[in-house]
Amino acid sequence: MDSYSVAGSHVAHQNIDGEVIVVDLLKGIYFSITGSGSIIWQHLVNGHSVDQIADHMLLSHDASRQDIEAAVDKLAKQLLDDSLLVKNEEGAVPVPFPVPSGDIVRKAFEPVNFEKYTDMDAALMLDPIHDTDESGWPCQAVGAVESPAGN
Amino acid sequence: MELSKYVSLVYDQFRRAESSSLETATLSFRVADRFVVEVRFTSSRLLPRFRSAIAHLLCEPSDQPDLTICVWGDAPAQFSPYSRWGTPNGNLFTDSNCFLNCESEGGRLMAVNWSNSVGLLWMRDFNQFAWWEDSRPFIDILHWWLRRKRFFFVHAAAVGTASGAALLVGKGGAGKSTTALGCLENGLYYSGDDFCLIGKSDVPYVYGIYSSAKVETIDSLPEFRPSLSKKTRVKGEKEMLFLYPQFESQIAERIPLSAILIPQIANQVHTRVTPSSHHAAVKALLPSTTELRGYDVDDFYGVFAVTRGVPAYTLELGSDRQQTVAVISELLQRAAPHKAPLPVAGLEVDLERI
Repeated sequence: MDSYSVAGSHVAHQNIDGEVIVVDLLKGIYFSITGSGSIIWQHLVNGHSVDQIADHMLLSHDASRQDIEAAVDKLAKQLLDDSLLVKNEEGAVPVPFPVPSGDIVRKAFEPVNFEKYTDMDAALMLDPIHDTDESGWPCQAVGAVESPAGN
Repeated sequence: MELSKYVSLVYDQFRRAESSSLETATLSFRVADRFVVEVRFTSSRLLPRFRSAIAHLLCEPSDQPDLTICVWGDAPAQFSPYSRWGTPNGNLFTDSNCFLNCESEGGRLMAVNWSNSVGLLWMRDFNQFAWWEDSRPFIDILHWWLRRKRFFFVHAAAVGTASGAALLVGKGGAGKSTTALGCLENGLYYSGDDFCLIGKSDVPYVYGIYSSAKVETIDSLPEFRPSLSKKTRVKGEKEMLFLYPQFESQIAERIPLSAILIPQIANQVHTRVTPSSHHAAVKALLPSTTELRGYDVDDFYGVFAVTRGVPAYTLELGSDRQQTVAVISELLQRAAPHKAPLPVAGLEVDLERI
């Protein structure tokens, strides 16, 4: 079973009030994932396979396993195609699923919304900011990109 | 050398310069309605150019300022951070404690140390400051420090009423400065024409940091003449205004954010408002990396989060400036923070009623 991780330090992501915003700093593109997609994203980057996520979400969502699996699989493929996720090596250990506290109330499985914004590269392809470490004067930060204007 | 150690050594250099100076000066100003910033100058001659745009925020000094900014230099024979410790390869550096910007060619160094809340601004020659930097003093240091406090600079003008504020966004030439000054002239509150600060507690807020404005020519705005900068205008550049104290009662430090307006100059008489998207608003709000040094993805996320849920509109600017002000006032009266966007395009305004 394939599992996944974020493609690298050049991919930033944050959950803002239930909307996951993923930024590819190399290409200057950002993505918005909403609906059930925000939960699926978290499980994917935690290293779970499509099957594992479908089984887990079936416990708490009122939908057929087939529908859930199809949505998870579709999102995973989109994220791979856009180079936001990469497949893990065999044997990678996922972050455990959270243990629910109290009774599980099944809720509606919201459609996954996945939107891509490609017109902000000028703002999102950012200046290289160098990390420093104990060895002394700075080294190039991992995933840092060259500013179009140079700096 | 570790970055934090380097910044600490540079700070030591400031303290030595300060202790040997006979003409030090300080000023204190309040930012985001809560933080007291103390600025320490090794030379009182430096103070005037930094003071004008923040004069409305000046406050009594605090025993424990939230941020201290140290300003010195202007003496080529003295300390240079580059010759002593080598010239860094690149301009921007960070670790968990500090942020540093080195421009060895321009002879400028700026830094923030978050662990002791000290900012540093050294210049080999302050005459090399660009004319427009007087309109937004300390913006880089404030940007780096405030970002960690979850306050973010955006490229926008801001105007408001008692109901709330609108950010006017967009690049140069979009009409935001002209619109903002038109609103100010007609009695609205004003919180900046180029950069504003935004943050969120219970609701999003706009914080006015700079009371400056830039116009192509004062001739089209004669009522603003008392606010014209006394410095000789740089040929080919805009006129600079410092709106305090002329508009003292209208310069707002903090207003709830009600709307984001994306101006577009339209070939029509009357201004119209049509709903736009959060994406369009964020795209217009984000400064370019040449406008704000050290801008990073954290700024993007911060601006996205603060403005999420704030309705955005395209403001199709007509030639009737008074009607434009009326449209903005009406929109702000209707759009309280976090209400849903207006459902109907083309906001009609009865000027007789305003």
